[in-house]
Amino acid sequence: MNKIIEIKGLSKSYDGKKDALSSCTFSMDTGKICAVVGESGSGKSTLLRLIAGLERPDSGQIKIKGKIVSDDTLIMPPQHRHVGLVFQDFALFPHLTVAQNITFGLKTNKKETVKRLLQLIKMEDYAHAYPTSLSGGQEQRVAIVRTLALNPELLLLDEPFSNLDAGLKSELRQEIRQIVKKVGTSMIFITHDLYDAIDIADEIILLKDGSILRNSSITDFSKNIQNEEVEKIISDLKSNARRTLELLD
Amino acid sequence: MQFRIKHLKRDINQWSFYTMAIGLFVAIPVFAIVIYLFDGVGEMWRHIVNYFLLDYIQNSLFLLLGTGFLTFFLGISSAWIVSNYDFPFRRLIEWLLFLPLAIPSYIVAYAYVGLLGNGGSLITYLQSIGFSIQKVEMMNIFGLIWVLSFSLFPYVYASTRTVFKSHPNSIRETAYLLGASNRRYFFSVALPLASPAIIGGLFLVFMEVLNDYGAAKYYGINTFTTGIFRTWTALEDLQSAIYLSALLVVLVFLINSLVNWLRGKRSYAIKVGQQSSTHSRRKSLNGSKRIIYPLLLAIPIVFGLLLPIAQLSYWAMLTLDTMLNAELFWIALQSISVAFGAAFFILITALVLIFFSKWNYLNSVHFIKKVATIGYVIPGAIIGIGIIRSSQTVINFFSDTFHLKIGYLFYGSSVILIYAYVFRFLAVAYNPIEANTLKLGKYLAESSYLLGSSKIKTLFKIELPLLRGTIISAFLLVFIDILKELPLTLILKPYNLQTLAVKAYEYADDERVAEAALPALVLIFTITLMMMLLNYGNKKLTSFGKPANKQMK
Repeated sequence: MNKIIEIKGLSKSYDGKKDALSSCTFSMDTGKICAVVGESGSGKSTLLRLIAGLERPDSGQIKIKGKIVSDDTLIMPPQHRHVGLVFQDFALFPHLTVAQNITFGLKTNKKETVKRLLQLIKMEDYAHAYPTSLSGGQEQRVAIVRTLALNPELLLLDEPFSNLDAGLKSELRQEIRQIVKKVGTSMIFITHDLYDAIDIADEIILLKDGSILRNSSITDFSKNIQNEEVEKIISDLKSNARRTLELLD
Repeated sequence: MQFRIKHLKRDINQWSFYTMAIGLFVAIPVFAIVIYLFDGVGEMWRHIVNYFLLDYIQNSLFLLLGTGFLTFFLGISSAWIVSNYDFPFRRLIEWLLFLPLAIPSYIVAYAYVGLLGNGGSLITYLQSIGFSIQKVEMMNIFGLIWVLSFSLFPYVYASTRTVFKSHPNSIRETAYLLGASNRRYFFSVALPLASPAIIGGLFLVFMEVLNDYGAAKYYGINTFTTGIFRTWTALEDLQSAIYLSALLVVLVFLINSLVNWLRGKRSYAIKVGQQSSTHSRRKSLNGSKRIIYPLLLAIPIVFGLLLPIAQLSYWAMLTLDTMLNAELFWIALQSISVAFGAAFFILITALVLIFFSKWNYLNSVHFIKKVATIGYVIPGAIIGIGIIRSSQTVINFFSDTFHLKIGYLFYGSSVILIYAYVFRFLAVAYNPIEANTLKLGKYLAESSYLLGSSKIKTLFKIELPLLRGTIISAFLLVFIDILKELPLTLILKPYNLQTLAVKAYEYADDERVAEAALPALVLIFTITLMMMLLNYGNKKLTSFGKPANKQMK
């Protein structure tokens, strides 16, 4: 299968302090959904920002669809990577309407695209609303379709469910999976909640202190664990997930 | 090392070069002062050291101490009362307390001589109601401290009022529940929490005191700034003026370091929640406060605003026939045009520096923009000397190398004056715009990049529209500062250019103080109008920010 992304020895530190990300290596097949799981400060957001081209790595290489987009000598600007990123606070342009936000990056077919994407997220009546009048869930949906409007080869989501209540979270998780599978793109999202990962991801990457501790398919995630530390983290994450499930029930 | 060079090659971009070029160009006056120090002392230096230097140092330090003390008292007392008590006309009084900033201090200085000098208006009035007073001697260092304090206290008032208003109710209530009296709360909690803002306000006062030329010259007080002018114009020794400037720069940086140290030691982060609204906790005045507090508020308004305006209006009435003519309108038009043009250039330079340096990936370049924005803490006289000296070098170079006479380009036009304003006032526009750019965060711009937009498109479509309010405020602030500016304009203005500030100064310097009143009043009226616009703009311009703690539906 074709690889959408290949990362080799990626490292990044801020202001010469401890590595936010340390020699990360992984790859992902096209069309898959990958969850990057870890606690706060584990380097999840840094990884996403490096893939998007918003940060400059200290060392390492990033390939998207087989093409080098970042290494020691070259940095491809974000707008040329065909990557979409939905920020944790959604970053909708507050002075533009929902329709203007969605068509911001488009050059043609603006009307049709707005209509089609607003239908997809069931927000047809909100085309002329401003972001400040939307709820958190609505803002998130708009942010996702704004990114999808450009047909990115890789969709990145930074903690997409962290600001949502339990009911909305569950609904949106499935909605995002359906949208992503429907448009046929690949997705990497970051979360600190294992349940988010188990619910919609095909693969999981476990990050701690900037290093990848485990990288496996969702089915193999808790099998054959050799490392005690990994075992403990997974057990903690599972316990959190169970609590989430109980709360949902 | 090889790794670093690789990264340098990767990270350097056109924005790094543009930032460096613009930053270095703007900062030429500072480099000029430093470089020309190596030319050695001027002919008059020994004479200045023997007869004047001690006077300059003593007077400047005494002025700083005196105005510091008085503005501290006036600014804090008025800020405390308007932030914590409710009384009739409070909003109007809050606004009036800002207005002394609209009157340049040298104009207040002229007005006070007219009020309290021999046969002065106020003296005559006091004599008519039975007081046997001949005059109050204003033309000494105490008079200058009085004038500068009543004209500059709004700097302390403005910064302290903002902090007093933002103190959450919970802090005050906790203090009272712990048994603190009003007095104890003020001295042990409110004042220490406001100290970084007070220090910041006092720093601005100090910079204005060191920059003052008109008032000190009129009152005959030898300060560093008047000394620099005298050395350059009367003693005709530019090199010694540069040495004096360098000494003043050292004094400015000592004060700056002291302020940074004090603010660093006393910076407190207060969580300001929705309960911080002061409306609910403003108390009514009762008991002796009903008399004492309005009197305390009346002092700065009467002495800093009403009396000077009354005196200027009286003079203006006396000279209306001769002074209200086409020339006055022409001068006002020139003044406004120059201020408008310069403010526009300053705004563009500030925006260019902020965004070019943001788009550059080399950390070392950020130092250059810091140097480019230090003009606000360097007195105008020094900037003027730095520019004169460096432009002489350029003129001599063109004359010696290409036999081209380009002096008229520098001194015959307003180009060099506008350049000087850019250096002097860049920080006034730069600081608020940069702060709001940081407040805007990086995610909106990054979203735009990821949606395929270039940096320039993102700037015009996203960042500038969202910064609209701040940009207009910055423009008005710079415009006001330039309208009031005197020393730099005196040194660098072309022969055929006249501004309201300079015209008022020239009349007063010529002992025709009454004639100075009308240009001064036109200047004050224009500045007040701008301040009202600024106030209106701050309230009205839409903020697109999301409401805090928004509920997720």
